[in-house]
Amino acid sequence: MKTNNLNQQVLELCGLIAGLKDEDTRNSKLTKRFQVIMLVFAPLYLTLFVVNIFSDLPWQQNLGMFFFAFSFLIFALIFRKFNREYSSVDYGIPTVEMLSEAVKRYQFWQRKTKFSILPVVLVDLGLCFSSYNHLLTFGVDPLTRILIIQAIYIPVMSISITIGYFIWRYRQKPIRDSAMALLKEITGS
Amino acid sequence: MSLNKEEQFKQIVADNGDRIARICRYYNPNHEDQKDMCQEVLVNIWKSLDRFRGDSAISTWVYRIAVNTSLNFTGKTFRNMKLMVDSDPQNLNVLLDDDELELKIKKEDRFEQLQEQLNLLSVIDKALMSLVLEGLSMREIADVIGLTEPNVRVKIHRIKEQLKQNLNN
Repeated sequence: MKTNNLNQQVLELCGLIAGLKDEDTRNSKLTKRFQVIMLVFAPLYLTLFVVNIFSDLPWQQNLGMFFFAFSFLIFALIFRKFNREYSSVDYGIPTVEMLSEAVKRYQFWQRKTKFSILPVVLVDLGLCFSSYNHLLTFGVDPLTRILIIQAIYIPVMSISITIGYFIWRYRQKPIRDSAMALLKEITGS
Repeated sequence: MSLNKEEQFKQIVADNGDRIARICRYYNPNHEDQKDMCQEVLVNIWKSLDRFRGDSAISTWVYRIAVNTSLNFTGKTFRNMKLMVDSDPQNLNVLLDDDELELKIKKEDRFEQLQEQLNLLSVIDKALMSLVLEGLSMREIADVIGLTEPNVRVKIHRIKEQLKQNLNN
């Protein structure tokens, strides 16, 4: 009797489909928005770079724009890949496979994370070149100018990574640990 | 395309509503929790539907989603997950492979003890037993969990032996 009642409720939950569609649409919109932002900034900086080749803008500043454009493009591609992975979890695969994928997905340092080093370095180069002339007004030599930028950029990046690590430790590490424990229990290894 | 998915979803739910409901009942003594888990299973069926290629039977696929969802659904409290069984004699027989013990349990009113022993099992063992209770073959259970059939057979045998031993003690 209870089963029948619950089954009825399960069937009634088909009405849930409208909510599911909304969720799919929202996720799709968010991903699209992010891609649009990145794909607006990347050509924008690239256009500025091309236009300024023929202007009076110092070449260092112009080259900085090119590096920014390139880094935006790579960031867009990386986040697109991450987003696709996180928004397409398949629960229809065998439990062992699902748990193995969850363990990989919630690692702090993943193989593909290394690709984000490139845009981070490009932003650094972009900052070095585009700030070159701003610091020139303070009368410091080129090496010191670069060191000043590094003295700001490296701590900012380190703080960002540390914050990211704590967020991972608080939110994702428990999931990874649970998945690992279950996997170990199933496979007995 | 979207309408097809919707129709397919409705068909799956109509055909497998009982299965989903039973699995949800195994894991949640509370009626509200059962409903929440059912909702979660349906959400995951919807999300995974695009990737269903028909490599396995639809029922096996639904069981996978239900079991995988139960592991996620229980989240931080997964260690406290409870496996609730019916006192249906057929059910008990499947669990214990022992008619006499089954009668003994019924006679001595030790059903609660069996329930207690089941809940002392690990999460994975509970998941395996829920599939045994569903009447799935070893091959089907292996397909759901992703282990080899002999491995599943050994695991289930061990769990049953452990249950019998604990009940006899």
